[in-house]
Amino acid sequence: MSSNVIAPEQFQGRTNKAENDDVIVAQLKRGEQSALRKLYDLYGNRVYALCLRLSGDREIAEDITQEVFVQIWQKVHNFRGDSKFSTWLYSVASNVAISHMRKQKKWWRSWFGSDQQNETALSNLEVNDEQSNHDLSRSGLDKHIAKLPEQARIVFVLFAVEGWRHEEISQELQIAVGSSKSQYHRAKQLLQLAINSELNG
Amino acid sequence: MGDVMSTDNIKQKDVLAQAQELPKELTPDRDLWVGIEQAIAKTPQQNIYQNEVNWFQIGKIAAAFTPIALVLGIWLSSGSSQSMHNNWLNPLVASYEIQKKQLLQNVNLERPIINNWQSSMAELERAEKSLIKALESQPEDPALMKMLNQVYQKQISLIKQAYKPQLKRYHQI
Repeated sequence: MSSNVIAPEQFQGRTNKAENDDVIVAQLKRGEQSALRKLYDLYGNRVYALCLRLSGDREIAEDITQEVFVQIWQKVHNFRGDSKFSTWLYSVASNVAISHMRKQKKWWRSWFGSDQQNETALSNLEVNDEQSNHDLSRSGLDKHIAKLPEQARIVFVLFAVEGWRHEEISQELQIAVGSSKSQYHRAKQLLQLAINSELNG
Repeated sequence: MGDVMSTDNIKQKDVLAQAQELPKELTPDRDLWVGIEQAIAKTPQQNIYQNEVNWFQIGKIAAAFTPIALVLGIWLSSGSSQSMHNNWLNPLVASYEIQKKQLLQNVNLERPIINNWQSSMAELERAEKSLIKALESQPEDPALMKMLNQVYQKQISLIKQAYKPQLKRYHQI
């Protein structure tokens, strides 16, 4: 059987999931907290994986994941059904993660200004946070993704892992489409270097 | 050598292929539901789009950091942590702690002129914690040392501002 052909049981599974989402969303809109638990059980690990890859930090990803579900609870009425619910959910998750990381940087800069020396120190802090999380038993590529510079990492994760288009990424990050493409290219180069360097010992 | 060469030089298209095969789900180390449940119990749903500033939540976050600041304060004043091994870091922290204690001993803590100064202090203490953690890995980094000093000075300045009239009287005596 070709990999593009969906087996009947798989098709049934997809249809059921979409219907299930509709039921859960309706319950959520009625203010039923148990519906959020169902949603968390269905999508919690998926959202966490996205947040972990975007942030490169386990603890931050856990905080962001919690914030995502709280925001879903608050803003479920903004979901009009124009797209699949899961698409909207991942879009909210990406948005919360990116905002969270921006706020962190803004917060540091608000205290320390942005001269060259402090920029270096800021990057050191981020590296240290990453180092403290390297006990993650993640796959080889995930380990290297976590070490990418922030913008290259976000673009790479959204494009290569999550399947966003550069136009969508540029809107989310408020950058030019060309910048998104160049950041993606940079990320690929850095990952290629890191993997080859590891392979060659 | 042949083996090394055969695994060498992964191509960029292979990077993309590997990325597409990454697991879509990962499991967090801790149970995140408890925190979500507590947060939504106190969070109303928005029926129409509202501006994102939620002062209740900001207050909640500040309150969440207060115990961390308290624990950090005890940890610093005990001076027994193994991580405080840097020769220059100990006197710096100790000097600051003495200065801070002296100031707080001479004020009535229930009568600040800035009501929310503790939340700003909690935020500064969080910065202090991150910097000390960073300095443990890079003890010679002058930028980190400069930033830690700035954080300490901001803490002292915050206490002075919050209790300005009382401290003014104290210094006049």
